[in-house]
Amino acid sequence: MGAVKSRILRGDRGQRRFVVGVNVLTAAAIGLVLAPTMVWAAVAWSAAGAALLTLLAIYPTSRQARDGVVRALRQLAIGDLALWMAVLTMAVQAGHDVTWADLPAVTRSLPAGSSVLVSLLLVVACASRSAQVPLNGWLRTTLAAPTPVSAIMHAGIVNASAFLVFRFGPTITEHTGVLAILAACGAASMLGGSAGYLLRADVKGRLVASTTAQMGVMLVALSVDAWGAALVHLMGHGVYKARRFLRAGEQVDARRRSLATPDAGRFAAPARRIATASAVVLPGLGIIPAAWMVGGSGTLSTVLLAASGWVAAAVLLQGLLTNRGVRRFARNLLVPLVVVASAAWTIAVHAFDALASSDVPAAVHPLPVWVLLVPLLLVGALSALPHLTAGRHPAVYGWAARLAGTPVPRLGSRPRRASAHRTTTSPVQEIA
Amino acid sequence: MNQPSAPQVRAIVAGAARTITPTWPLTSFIAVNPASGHLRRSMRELAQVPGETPTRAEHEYLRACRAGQIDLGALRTALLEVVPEFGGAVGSGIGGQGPGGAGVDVAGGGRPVGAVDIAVAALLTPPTGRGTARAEGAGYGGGVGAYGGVVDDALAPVDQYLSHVLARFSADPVWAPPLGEGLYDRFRGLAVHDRSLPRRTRAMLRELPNTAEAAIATVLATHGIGAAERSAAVAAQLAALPGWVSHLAWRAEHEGDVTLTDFVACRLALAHAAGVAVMTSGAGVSVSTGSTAVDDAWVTRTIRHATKDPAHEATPAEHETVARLLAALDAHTRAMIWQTAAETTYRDELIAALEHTDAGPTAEQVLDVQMVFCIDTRSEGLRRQLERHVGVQTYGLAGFFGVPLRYTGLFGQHPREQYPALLRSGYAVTERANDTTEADRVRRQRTLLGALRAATEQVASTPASAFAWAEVFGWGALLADVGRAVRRASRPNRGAGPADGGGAVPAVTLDLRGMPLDDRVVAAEAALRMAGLTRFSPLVVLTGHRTTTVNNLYRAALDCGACGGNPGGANARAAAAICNDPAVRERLAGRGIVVPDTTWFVAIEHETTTDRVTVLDPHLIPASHQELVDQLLAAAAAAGDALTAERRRQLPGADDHTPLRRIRGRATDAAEMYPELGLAGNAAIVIAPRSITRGVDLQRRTFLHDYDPAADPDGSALTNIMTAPLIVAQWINAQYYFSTVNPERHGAGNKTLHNPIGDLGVLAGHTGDLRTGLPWQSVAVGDELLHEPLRLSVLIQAPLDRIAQIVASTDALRALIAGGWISLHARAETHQPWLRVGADGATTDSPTTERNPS
Repeated sequence: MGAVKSRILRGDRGQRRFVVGVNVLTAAAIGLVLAPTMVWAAVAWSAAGAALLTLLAIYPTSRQARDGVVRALRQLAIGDLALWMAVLTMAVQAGHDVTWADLPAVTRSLPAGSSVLVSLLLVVACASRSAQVPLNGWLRTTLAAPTPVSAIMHAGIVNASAFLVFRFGPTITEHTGVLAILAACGAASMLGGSAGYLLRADVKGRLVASTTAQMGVMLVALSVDAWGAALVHLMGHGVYKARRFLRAGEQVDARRRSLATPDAGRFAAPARRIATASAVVLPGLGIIPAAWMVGGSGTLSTVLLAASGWVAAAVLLQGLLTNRGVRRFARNLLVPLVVVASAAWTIAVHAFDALASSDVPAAVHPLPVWVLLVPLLLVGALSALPHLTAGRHPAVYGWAARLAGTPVPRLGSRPRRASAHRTTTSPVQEIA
Repeated sequence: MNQPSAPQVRAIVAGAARTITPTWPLTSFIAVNPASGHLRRSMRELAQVPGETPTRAEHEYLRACRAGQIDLGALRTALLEVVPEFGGAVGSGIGGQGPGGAGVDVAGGGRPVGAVDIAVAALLTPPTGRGTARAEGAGYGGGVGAYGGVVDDALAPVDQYLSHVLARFSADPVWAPPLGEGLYDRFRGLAVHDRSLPRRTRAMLRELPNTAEAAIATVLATHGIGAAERSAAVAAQLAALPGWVSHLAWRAEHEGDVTLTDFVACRLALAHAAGVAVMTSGAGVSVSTGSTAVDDAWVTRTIRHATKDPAHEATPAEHETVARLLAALDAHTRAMIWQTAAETTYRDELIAALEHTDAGPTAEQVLDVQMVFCIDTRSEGLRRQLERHVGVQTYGLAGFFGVPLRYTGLFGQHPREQYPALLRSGYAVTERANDTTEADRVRRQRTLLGALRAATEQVASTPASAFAWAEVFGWGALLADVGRAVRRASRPNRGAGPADGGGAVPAVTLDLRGMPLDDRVVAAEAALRMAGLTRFSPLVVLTGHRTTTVNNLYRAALDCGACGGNPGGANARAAAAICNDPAVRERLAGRGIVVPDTTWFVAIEHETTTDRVTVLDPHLIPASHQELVDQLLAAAAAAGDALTAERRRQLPGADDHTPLRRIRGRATDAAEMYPELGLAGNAAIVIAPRSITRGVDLQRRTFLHDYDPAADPDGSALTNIMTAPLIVAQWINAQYYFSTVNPERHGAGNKTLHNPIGDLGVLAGHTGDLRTGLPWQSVAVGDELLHEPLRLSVLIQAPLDRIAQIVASTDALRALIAGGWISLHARAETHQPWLRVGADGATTDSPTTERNPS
């Protein structure tokens, strides 16, 4: 991977800075996982943030890059500050640096007010690093850094907050109210990120929006105690997103390929509806028996993972079964294949969960599961909107645009002041 | 204040849009001359246009001169060409009656120093600091000028918002914005509801009229812009987002669903609603033309350099004389002289090299084969190597072989426009498979694959399923990558096949019924006469070319430009089929071109990333010619190896010891930024028989078009060549030139920052203008240029009166020559001296360059 990335930057002015930054970043990420105590974890956390900012500033002559770095610096600094305040508060309380084993005891020894405050600060740190609402703006303005930087960032930096929750679990999950705030941030990010994905026209901008949504679902999963699911998601998403970034140049290939590929079109209404209905039901034929086979309903994580696998398989099957190009022979082959794959997925996540659950601590006071279902249903509704008549209504679209956010500085926020005092800097410069 | 009417508004926009060059989307990315809107003036005057620059920075030339890349003799020639006054008037006008009437009495070791010597000394010791043409490091494509266009801070958020909204309209987001009547109406409908805009802005937009023309008129009137300033105000809107405007200009012409009036209305409306002045007075118009006051230190340095006396103390009179001379050398003039000198150096070397041709066959094996290639500079390498290996005869012709196609492949959904941009249309050509059962089987497979791709795309782009998809795909990709690494280790170097179809069904025949017989005959005759190909070997090979590269947004720039940025194979196949058609041959014979029955035309394709050639339509080759084709292919493989070995020296990250396998592996490497160098280095076009260039290593820097006056009795072939391939070569040359000298405005920036907007273009980062031109990696590696920017030198060997007549009667050529966009040299016969041809068609002796006087 490293060799690939330095090849991309061959001859580039920023190559040396890139290699150094990536190595520091990797070391910091490993450090975060291996840190024996919370101060070490905080050091690794901040080192990763600093290395990330160095990488984002790889082209200091670019104004876009400068704007992005400054915005990232501001929002990431809030998170780092919060983390350090939390860590120091606990260290002062304990009188020394705290190992993970001692953390529950130290947490319990905190006065009620400080305990809530410390948990809240940790949530702020999570939201900042994972680009969650309301600290999500910085991620959108980081595209003036080279593609490999984006790949590393989306694969290995923004998801670090999951590790923070794992490590500080006893503290963060102590208060249901605090967890609810974490879940609310995550849920809002799921919606905003999904809207961004739907609305953005630039490929990388779409990927950025999708990361915010994906990190949101991860944090909500953490808050309902589906930690195994969060872990699966964290790793899968990392690989997926890095790959999507590094392959952002395939637009033209894809376009040419689609122009040269015959398209048989879709089935008409009645057949189409039947196909859609079967697509929704069929994955269950694999998932339910598989779940039963490996031992009943399983943990919450496995249920969630299996259910999300069901959704993906259903959408995939819907696409295949409504397409005229998938003839009977292929259909007879593909449907069992998807069913078997769904079953395999269910078994795999059960196995993974069994393996991981011994290492992953449990939440103290988790939120009820429906907390995750609410944003999921809302995202589902949002996914359907572009295909509905309502989605063509300008007002609906306008609200979605608001939800999606934009990397563009807010228009007209300062013009009157600028015209009153001609020397005042413009909005763009103010961001810089 | 009276408001302009709708037609008046449209006329104002059309007038202001004259300098705009449409740019093609990435899928059919073809070279355009970015300065084509400025051809009415000279290239030197481009320095007066905001945001434009005609040359590199002065210090870069000085460095090239010190490295011996610019000849001092050429510098003198260039000086006299750019500032002819130094040859006479200025020199004598300032009183010094030195030798030749052009001297200045600066006593240098007892002998007077001429004005030219002083100017050369001044060029070699230019003033530092203020007055240099461009700041150091500005050429680097790492995202400088990131917001694109002429930056005006108050308007930057307006432009960024507009750029994002235009992207939503033009590309294909999952959720497309609501429809409307035309771009402006759509924009207004979207913006008044866009909750990310402030309420006040939305309210003001709602108050504006809903047609573009009325909106423009209203906003102009509201802001007190009177009739006199309207054009300037509209031009300022168009200059704000030049990349988007260039794209919309293309779209207006090809799709017709937008107009530039719409764009102007959008920007004016948005600026108005955002409460920003729509036209800042004199925004971006301040262009430093260099200070008029001549720097004293420069004068002193110049005198000391010219007299070769480092301690020389000039008298006040000398000082003043030299200062007056140097006043003619402002920063832009100096840079232009250097640029001209670089071109003169190159051209002199080229012309000198042409004296050492080697027409005789040197290869041990000689095949009686004629091969026709595209004029593309990359063909030069393969032609040279092939001639060296098998002594074939090669010809150069525009790579669409005179057959403009709207080509739909066997399974294609839409025709591909495979013709040069100069032509407006092509013949609809489809394909049919000889074995329909087999074709149907493959079609079903392809359809299924397409359905699978569409379904996975749907899963990934539906937010509800994207969560699970990231997990499934991520883990799957991880396993697949591990598997691939293992497989690659066990079976190295298995390249992927071509991505865009073809090759899967064995015998496919082009269906040329869309092209009437008469047109086929005319096309064949024109092509053959243009190439000077009127006597035929048993085998005539038409060589199209294509690139193979993955994960590369600019792949079309590496394909055949004459085929509309597509692989050239289809055109070569069509041309071969036409020339093999007995009906066509019969008619050709009637027109004086006799193709013997024993002659067969074969189409092949040269893959420029790997230098491999493949035979197209092998099933059409008669058994009688099969052996010859096989022999040729064997030789072509060896020639391809030699060419790749030659190319690897220039490729970044490779050297003489890099295995060819690794160089070729770049074709399938998704992380490769330099799969091949494309047409980098292009500097000249030679329109002449191959005999005058054969055996000379032209280093893949020249376009080569054959021309044989004997095959062209009425001069129509030469007219075609000079008005089509020559112009296209100039476009390509200008695209590389301006992408190099002005990467902020005419380059697409650093490839690693590219953020594609569908397939129509890229942003360099998360915001800013749509970028035009070539990415920085096409012309440079880091700070080092891969492409030396030189204006096209045209060398034509043809009857001089014919050339003069064509130049005089062609506006485009006249403008190019008069404005110094190209230089044209000609001669009638081999071994005559090359003469310079002016815009009026008249020839002058090109001033002979003294080589290295120092």
